[in-house]
Amino acid sequence: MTAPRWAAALLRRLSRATGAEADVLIGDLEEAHRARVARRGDFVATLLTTLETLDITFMLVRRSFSEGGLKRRMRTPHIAMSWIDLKLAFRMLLRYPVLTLVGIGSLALAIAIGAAAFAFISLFLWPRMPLPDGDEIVVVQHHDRAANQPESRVVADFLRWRDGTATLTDVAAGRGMARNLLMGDGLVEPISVAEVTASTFAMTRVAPILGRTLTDADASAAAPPVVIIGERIWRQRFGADPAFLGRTVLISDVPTAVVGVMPATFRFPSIYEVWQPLKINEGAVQPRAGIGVRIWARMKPGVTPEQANAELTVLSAQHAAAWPATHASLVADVQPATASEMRNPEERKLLASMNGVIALLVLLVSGNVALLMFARAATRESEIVVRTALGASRARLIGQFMAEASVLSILAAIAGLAIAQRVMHWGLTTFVLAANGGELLPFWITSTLPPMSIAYGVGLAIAATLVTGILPAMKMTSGVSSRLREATAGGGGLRFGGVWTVLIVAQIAVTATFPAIAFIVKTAAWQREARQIGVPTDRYLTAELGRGSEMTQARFEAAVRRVREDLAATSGIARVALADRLPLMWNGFHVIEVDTGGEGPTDETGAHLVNTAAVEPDFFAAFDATPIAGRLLAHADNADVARVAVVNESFVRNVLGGRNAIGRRLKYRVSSNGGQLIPQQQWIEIVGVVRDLGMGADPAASRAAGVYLPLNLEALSSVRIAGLVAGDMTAATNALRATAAKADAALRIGDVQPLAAVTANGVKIINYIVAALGMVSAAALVLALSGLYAVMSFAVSRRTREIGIRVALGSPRSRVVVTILRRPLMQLAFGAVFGALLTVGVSRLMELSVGFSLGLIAVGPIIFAVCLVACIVPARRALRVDPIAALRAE
Amino acid sequence: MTKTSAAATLAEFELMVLVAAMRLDDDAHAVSIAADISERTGRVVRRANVYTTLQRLEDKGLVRTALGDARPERGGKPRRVVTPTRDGVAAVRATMTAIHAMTHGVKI
Repeated sequence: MTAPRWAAALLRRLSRATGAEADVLIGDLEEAHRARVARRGDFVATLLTTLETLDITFMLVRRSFSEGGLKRRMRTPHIAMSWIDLKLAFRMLLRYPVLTLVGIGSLALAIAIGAAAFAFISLFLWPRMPLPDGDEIVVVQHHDRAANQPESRVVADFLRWRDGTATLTDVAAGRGMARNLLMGDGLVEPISVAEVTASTFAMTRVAPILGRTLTDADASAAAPPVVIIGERIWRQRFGADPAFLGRTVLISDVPTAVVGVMPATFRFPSIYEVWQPLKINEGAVQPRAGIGVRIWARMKPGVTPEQANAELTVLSAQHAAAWPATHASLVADVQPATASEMRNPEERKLLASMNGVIALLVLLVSGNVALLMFARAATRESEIVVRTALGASRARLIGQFMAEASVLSILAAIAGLAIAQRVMHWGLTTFVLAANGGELLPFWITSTLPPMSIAYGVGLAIAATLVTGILPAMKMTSGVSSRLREATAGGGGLRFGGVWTVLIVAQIAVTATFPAIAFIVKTAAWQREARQIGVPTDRYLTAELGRGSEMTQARFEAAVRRVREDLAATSGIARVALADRLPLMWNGFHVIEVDTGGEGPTDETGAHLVNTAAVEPDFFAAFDATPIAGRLLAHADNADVARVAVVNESFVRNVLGGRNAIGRRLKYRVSSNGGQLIPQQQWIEIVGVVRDLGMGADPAASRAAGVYLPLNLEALSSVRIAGLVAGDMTAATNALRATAAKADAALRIGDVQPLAAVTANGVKIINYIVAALGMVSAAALVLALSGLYAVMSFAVSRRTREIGIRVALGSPRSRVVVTILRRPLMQLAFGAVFGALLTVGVSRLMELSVGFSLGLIAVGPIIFAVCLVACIVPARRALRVDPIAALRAE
Repeated sequence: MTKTSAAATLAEFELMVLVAAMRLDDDAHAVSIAADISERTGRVVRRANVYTTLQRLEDKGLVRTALGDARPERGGKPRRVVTPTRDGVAAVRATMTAIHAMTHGVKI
């Protein structure tokens, strides 16, 4: 882990003309940072190094000043801030603890959201390899220029380069495999195995925590099978037993000795936790033939990717000359080993632009804090006027405000970065569950806040300082002299201007939007939880059966059928069925057209969106579905190409407009959207209609139309199995695992869970999102309400004198109250309208189908009530004041 | 640059930096000096202060600095090695003598 690059760049820029001083400073920074990483870990070290860099930066700037460099250029500093100002600022903040806490809390939250989102986005857009000098590690990729496709059958190329080239060293090769891990307890766990050459470990420069890494001898044909496992498996499955080395486990039925344990942070090349030697029969290797592998290498120190590519171009030409039949159009180049998954420039731009949206949120929050600061500062108007009268310059006054804002922002930045670290952890866990189907992320995506986002958080804090300091300062100190005159003449004073009105309206709008969206999302979760499909989903055991990489299709098919038969014969399990997707699962939408045109809504090309599942005939019986019209699928329908289909009631309603379905024909426009391949552009006849069986993950009735096609195992690499369990679910789960292991050791089995868990997982993810939105909403609400209260109280208190005069002149109290409330109520109304528009916009963007009114109605009264309290409390206070006393007070 | 007489006494932090540089000998540079003071006194030492102090001591002729070798643990960057001059050692001695003289007989 090296020191942040921005820090080195900053020191180089600020240090004096000679390069030597910059080198010494950067070297010191690097040395101190590495020592800290070893002692206190990456996160704390980065935080301390960031603070230290800022400290040294100030030292360098001060030195430039004292040497007269900058001093000459900037004759007068615009803002005069001193240590005394900072001390005073601390005291002022302590005097108003609630205001200070609200200010720090809201800024901290905004900085946390900003820094965490930036970290999250940069991890996906600009990933870095977290290995010693990880930036030197590259992937060597081959590309067939003629066919315009990548080529992975490059073992012959690897053998030529494995001793290194002029620019590359530690050349390694490997491939990923899916295997079953079987241990003494008889339970099978599907695992991802990386078959790699021994040089992989030398290249990554990571040592095992126990035992050894792979050696070249392990890769010889005669060598006994060995495996290296990751720390997580060692701890979870083997209880971190140090005497465990040398024990034997079964990997896809092959007894294999465990020889080493790698640290949990190492999952090279991406998500692997089990490594086996890549066995290459060198005598039999032919160019561009055999197994597919990936090649990695480390660039020699000081070598750039461009230099490595230049060398690879020459080497590719040599290979083309040596193997003209296979390598004539093959070129190799290097890519970063952490190449971002996101390559589409449009998507990258969109993701990067999210930073802008979040920065806007921070600005809005800062604006609100500025509002609070201003409201508080307004109580010190007389102090400012007196200080000006005594000769204080505007720079001095602004300096005082900036000092308060700085103290607030520094405290908020520290709290915000700590929260961001937690948010990152939570965000990645949610992402893994929600968007990655529970699959692990590449090991370079970690929840440690990267240095760049710490710097970004500090940047946000500086921006917040400027907004929360400068805005009130400028407002408070503008026209002080004229206010001095007016004040002594008995009138005038501060007023809120247009900027503040816009800020209040924006605040109300955003405040109303967050809870409304959270409510809408939560409604979706409730709908999912309440969804009934006419059978007890908690009694159905389901699993995914996948084809192991060494299985032929016929072997896979035979194994699946055997599992199906054995499971049906198991006591306590009845009604077993196979399908590519089970009820309640995400089916992927397919675009179809119907022969004489449907009656339901279509897109502009006359197409309908439907869910599709490929099922075997017993599927309907297993889920208690009888034909409403026509017939169900029969075994005779199981042809290579689907010619008949059964549709559900929603299909009849949504697509056919309630007309008779039997005998009608439909045609798919796209052949696949995941799952079984579907015959494209071929008419399929509808032979039956069944009730809705919970097709698709979305419970909305408008998206429930579904088509069932005959299952064709020959065209699938994985299939789902479901069985109705009468007795103990745990026993049935173990029986299913054991049956799968018995049927074929290479058969992969995953996602063993009750059918109800499918919905539960979806609901869990939604609840995560609702919790996040809820937290942001609650914070936004507290923040906005406190801001509104402060501002309105202030606005009303400024009018005490006016109220006194009105009451003295006999104005009815009700009219006085209306006068006071007119402006805030207008702001509230505008805010509500904009909030409603924002909610509609955001829910459209998020494709949420639930109406917005309920959520908004729930939030509206709260904001309205607090606004009223905010105005009425000071108004009542003003009305109670004796008019003579009010006039005298001014 | 003003040269101070050998009898000049040092401020507290200057004294610490000079003594640390004497102890660390060939290994004396900003990072090791800061670490040494921090370890022995338990106080948090800002490296920016060490740089400022070293600059002042060099201006007074009490230390000499020179670029050292590039090292891998510093990302291939050199150190600025600090060596106390004869005047520097004399200043340490003078300061210590002054402190002893002042504290002699005082119950601390």
